[in-house]
Amino acid sequence: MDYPGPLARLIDELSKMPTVGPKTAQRLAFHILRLPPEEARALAEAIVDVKAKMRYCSVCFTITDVDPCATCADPARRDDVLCVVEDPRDVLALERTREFRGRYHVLHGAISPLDGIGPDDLKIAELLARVRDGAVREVIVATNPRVEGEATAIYLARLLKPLGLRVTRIAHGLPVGGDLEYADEVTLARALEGRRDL
Amino acid sequence: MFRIRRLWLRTFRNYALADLALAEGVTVFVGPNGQGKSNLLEAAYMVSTGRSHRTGQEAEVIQRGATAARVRAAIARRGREEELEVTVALEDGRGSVRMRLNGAPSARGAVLGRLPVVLAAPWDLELVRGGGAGRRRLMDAALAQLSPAYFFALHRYHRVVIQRNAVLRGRAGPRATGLEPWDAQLVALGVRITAHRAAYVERLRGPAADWFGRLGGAGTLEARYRPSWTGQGDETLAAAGRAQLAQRRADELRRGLTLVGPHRDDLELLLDGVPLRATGSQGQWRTAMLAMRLAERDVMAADLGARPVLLLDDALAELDPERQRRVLDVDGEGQVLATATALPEAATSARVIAVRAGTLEEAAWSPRSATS
Ligand SMILES: [Zn+2]
Repeated sequence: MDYPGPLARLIDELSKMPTVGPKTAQRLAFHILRLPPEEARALAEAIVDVKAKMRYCSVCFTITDVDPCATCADPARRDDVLCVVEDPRDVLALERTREFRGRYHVLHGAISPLDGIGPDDLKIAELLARVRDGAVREVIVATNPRVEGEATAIYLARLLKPLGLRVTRIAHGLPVGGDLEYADEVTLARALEGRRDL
Repeated sequence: MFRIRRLWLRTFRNYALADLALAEGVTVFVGPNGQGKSNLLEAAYMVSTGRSHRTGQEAEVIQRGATAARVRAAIARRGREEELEVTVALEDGRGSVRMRLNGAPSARGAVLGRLPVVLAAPWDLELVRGGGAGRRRLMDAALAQLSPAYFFALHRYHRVVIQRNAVLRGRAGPRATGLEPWDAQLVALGVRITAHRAAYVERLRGPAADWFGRLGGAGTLEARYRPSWTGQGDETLAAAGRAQLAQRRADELRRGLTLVGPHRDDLELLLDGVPLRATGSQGQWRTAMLAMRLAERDVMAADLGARPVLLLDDALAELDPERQRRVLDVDGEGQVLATATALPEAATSARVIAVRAGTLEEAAWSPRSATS
């Protein structure tokens, strides 16, 4: 038996979410159905709000509600060191270490020929434009330790070193195949300290 | 000391449910063919390695009508009790393998080597007559259990090959980065794999030749590593790798495949200097492969400081009692799980379990009364 229209539609939408299978979608939908009207409305508004108010920073491309983001707008941060990451979540992970006082650049992915993702699909042209303005001396490549992140790091080093920049890679004390997001703060801080030249 | 204390199977092949306490020393599962003896060894192998030695389609181990198969093992490892678990669940018609270590979901790389195992099975004959993939797996299975670094290097290497093949096939389109980021990793990881394999086979050679003699093999068995890249030291190996890549570039682009690197290595088995597959009888092949497995156990034992668990699937049948005794001799330390259609004469002190249609029964009969 099919569920009535609006319920079926909610289950359908929820099951599009990552890690949510049909069974979980059903459970969530019934939970939402039983919520008091004001709670259901708050959830719906939060979803609409996040799309309306969150955007990418026009400088570093992390996710933010003000543009430029708080890190880019902070005058106390160093302009000579730029840390390149794959994902906005990596910025948050590195910020939690309180070790890094420079600026960030989010690529939004890594090179993956298998998935048809090349340099043009990442914020690499924007990175080149940023470093060409002269303040940056060192680029720390903190892409994920997976082979795709490593390939991206090698590719970036080839582009950036001819511009006279020091290009370093954070140390691989990280669990291999793991993401920065899941590395604990101590591990990350050590990885930053132990970075090597590319 | 590594030992399985208890093995628990749920809807695994022909076992709806089995719960088996195991002792150290030798345990022999005896019964006619097709009753499920080998399935027990497969279960032990899977719970420790996350792979079946019989099939690349893990879904095959799920009992008909069930949606998942599960094996749990209580193990003793260097004086500590641990629990390993593997679940194969049907997902979109395919078997998805998940592992747990002491109850916590764990990556395969974190579980491998917790319970080191060596398995000798009839399938080993394919290693003599088949392609190089099986013989590479022979090296990789032992090395992955001995060295997490090796496992991760190999895992990454295969991913690099897949990505590199996508570049070679032009899938990344005109915006591609070129091959450089992948070549650099292929060479760096390939050098580590090659160095590990070379050192491992070098250590395997002596024990393999010794065991071949002790098992009654006629002639001299030699195992020889045939790497794609040769040279002394990492730098020389890397240079060899880069030179080959340059030399084969046009071929690789034409065929859309990575043609260079340790994924094309081989392990050559020679009898008196002649390739085994071209010379020996099936009996000699069997003896040679059993010798290779026992050598594998010796090398692993030397590294680990204790013997891995030895799984012998129908490996004793063609040996005379004296040679059976040599294989089963655990020297007061170690665990052997063996299957046989008839009780091996040499298994005088073994615990015997009768296997019939997926049920297990402690055999009350002594080896002597069974053979008379
Ligand atoms: Zn910003």
